[in-house]
Amino acid sequence: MTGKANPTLAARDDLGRSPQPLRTVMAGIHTWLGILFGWLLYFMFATGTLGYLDTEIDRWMRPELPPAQYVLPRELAAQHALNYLQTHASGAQRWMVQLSVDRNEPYLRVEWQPKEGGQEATSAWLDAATGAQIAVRETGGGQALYQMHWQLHYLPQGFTEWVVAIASMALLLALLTGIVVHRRFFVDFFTLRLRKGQRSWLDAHNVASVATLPFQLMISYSGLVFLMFSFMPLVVNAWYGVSPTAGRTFYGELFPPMAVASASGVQRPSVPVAQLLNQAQVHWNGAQAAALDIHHPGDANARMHVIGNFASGPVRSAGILVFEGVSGSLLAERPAWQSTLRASRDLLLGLHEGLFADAWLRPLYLLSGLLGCVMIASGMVLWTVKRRQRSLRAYSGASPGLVWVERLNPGIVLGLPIAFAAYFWANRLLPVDMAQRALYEVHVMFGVWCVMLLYAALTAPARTWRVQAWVAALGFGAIPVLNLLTTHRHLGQSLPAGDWVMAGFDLGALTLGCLFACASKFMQRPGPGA
Amino acid sequence: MRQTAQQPGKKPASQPWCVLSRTLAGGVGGYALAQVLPVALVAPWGLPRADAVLAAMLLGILVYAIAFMAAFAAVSAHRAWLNLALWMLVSGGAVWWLL
Amino acid sequence: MMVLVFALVVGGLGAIALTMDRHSQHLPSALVYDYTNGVLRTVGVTALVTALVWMAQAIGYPHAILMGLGFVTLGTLCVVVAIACADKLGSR
Repeated sequence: MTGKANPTLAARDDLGRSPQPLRTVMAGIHTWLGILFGWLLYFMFATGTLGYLDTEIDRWMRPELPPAQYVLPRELAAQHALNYLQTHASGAQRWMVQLSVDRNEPYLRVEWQPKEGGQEATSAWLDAATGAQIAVRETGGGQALYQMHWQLHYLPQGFTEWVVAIASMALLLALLTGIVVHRRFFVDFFTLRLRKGQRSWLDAHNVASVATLPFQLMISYSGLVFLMFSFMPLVVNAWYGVSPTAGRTFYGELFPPMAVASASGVQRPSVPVAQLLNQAQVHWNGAQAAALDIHHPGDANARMHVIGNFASGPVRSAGILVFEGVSGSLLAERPAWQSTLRASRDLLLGLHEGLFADAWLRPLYLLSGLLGCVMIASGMVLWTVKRRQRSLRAYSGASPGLVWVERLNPGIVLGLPIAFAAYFWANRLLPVDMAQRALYEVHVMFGVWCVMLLYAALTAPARTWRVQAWVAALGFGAIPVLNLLTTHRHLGQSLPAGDWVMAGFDLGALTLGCLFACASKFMQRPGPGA
Repeated sequence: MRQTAQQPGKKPASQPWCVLSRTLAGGVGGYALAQVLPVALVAPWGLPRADAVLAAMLLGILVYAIAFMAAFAAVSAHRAWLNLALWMLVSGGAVWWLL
Repeated sequence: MMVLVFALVVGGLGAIALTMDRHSQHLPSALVYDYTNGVLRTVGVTALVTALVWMAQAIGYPHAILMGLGFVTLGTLCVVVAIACADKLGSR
C-alpha cells in the first residue's frame, strides 16, 4: 500500500498530463483518504454515537442516582441548590447550578470554583426534592466517551486538534468524492447482494452511505464548523487586523462579556432566586430557566446569570439574563437570536449534537450514527477484499500494508466495541472507593483494546473476526447479568418500576450481544469469496 | 493504461511526485485559498465584522473541499498550481482592495 | 400517526424499488412490466410526498423534514433487507 504507486493515478502522457477520467481520480482520493483516516474516523463515529447517549450512559454508570424527577416549579430546586452551596462552598468565586430540565439534564447538579485559582471545579448531585447530596461513585461516565469523540485520549491536546481537524475534512472529502464516484447512484439504491465477496461489501458500503447521505454531509460539515475558529485564523485577521489580540477581539464581539465585575470584598445578601426565575420566565414568554451561573456569590458585586435551555430546538441557542445579585435589577441580556449568521452557526452545531431531538427523532439519529460506523468499517473491509483479489489475480504476494490492514481491521472494528463493553464492566467491577477509579476505568478500556489489537496482529484475519465477534457478543450480552450481580438496579427491578434508562441500557446491551452473536454465526458459515 | 512515453532528454514525470505535488496544491494551497477567497466574497456585503467572519469561515470549509478536489481534477500538477496561483492572486487582490 | 407515516414511507420506497430493473423480478409476473413501471413510480413518489406533508401539518416543516430524512433512512434499510430476503428465497 505505501510503497507502490497507486495505478489509478498513473498514466501520464508525454506532457505529464493525466488523461484519467474524473471518476477515476476522485476514486483515488476517496480510497487514499479512506485508508489513511478510516480507523480514526471509525473511532470518532463510535464515540460520537455513544456520546449521543452520554446522559443515559452516565446514569447507568452511576446506579446510586435514583430515577430522575423533574421537579416543578424549579424555584424550590434552585433554592435547595443555593442552600447547599451556601453551606459547602461559601468562599467560592463562582457557583453553577444545573436544574433538572429534561432528558439531557435529568438531575439537579451544582458545581463551584474555589476562590484561589488553580483548583478544579467540584461538583455534586442533589436530590431535587430534598436538596440532600447523593453519594455517587467516581466515574467518567458517558461524558468521558463523548469527549473522546474530539479530544481522543492520551495524546497531547495540540496534536489531537490538528489530527481531528484533518480527519474531519478527510471525511467531507471522502463523502463528496464518493458521490462523484458512485456511478449507478439510483439504480443501486436498494441493492444488497449477500455472500458475493467484494460485491457484497461494496453494496453494504453504498447502502450505509447513501441511505444516510444527508446526515453524513451534515455531520461532517457541522463537525468542521465546531473547529473553524481554531483553523481559519487568517479570516479573523482580514477584518480584525494582524495584531496578536485580533482573535480575542473577535471573540469579544461574538460573545460580548455581560456586566462583568470583580469582587468588591463586601458581603451583601442576594435577592431570593425565585424572584429572578419568575422574572426570566416572564421575559421569555413562559420558557423556563435551565441553569444558573453566579459570579462572586454573597458579594456586593454578585452577578446572577439565568440561562435558558440550549437544547430546546435545533438552533443551539438560548437567552441569558444577567441580574445584579443584591438588587435583582436586570443588567444585561443576550437574546437567543442575535443575527442570521450566528443563528446559522448555532443551527449547524445544534443539528450535529442532536440534543433537541424528541422520542421519535432520537432513535433515527442513533441509527444514522451506527450506519456511519458501518459505512466506514465496510469501506475498510472492502479495500482489503479488493486488494486481496487483485494480488491473487496478479499472482503477486500481498503487500505488507495489505496484510497489516487485513489483520488489524477486526481489531479495530470489533475491538473497539469490545473495549466499550470492558469500560462498562470496569465501572461495575472496580471498587467504589478506589482512588482515581474514573481514570482506571478508561485505562481498562484502552488496555482491553490493546489486547484485542495484539491478538489480531498475531492471528489470521478470518479467525480474528469470528473470535472477536463472540467476545463482543459475550461482553455485551452478559451486561444485564453483571448488573444483576453488582447492583440492585437490574432488569428485575427497573422493568417493573418503569425505569427505562436502566432497563433500556441493559436491554440494548443484550440486543447488541445478540447482533454480534448473529454476526459471528454468519461469519462461520462458508460463503463464496467472502 | 497508457505507458509513459520516453522523450529524449526529458525525464518521465514520476507518479509519486505528481501526486505529492497535487496534494500540496490542494491540501496546503487549498487551505490558504479557503481563508482568502471567502473574505473576498463576503466583504462586499457590508456585514458587521463578527458576522462577516462567520460567513467567510462557513464558506471557507466548502472552498477548501472544492479546491482540494480541483487540484486533482486539473489536467496536470503544473496546471493545478497555476489555477491555485490565479485564484489566490485574484481573491488576494480583491481582499486588499475591499478591506 | 407517526407509525402510519412511516408505513407510507416504506410503501413508497418499496414501490420505487420495484420499478428498478434489478428488483422488478419480485413483481408478480402477471402484471405487465412496462405499464406498471410508470404507475409504481408515481405511486411511490406520491406516497413519500404525502407522508412529508402529513407530518408537516402536525409538527411543522423543519421537524418534518428531519423526521422525513430519518424515516427514509430507516425505510431504505427495511426495503433493502426485504429485497435481500426475497432474493434469497427466490434463488432457493
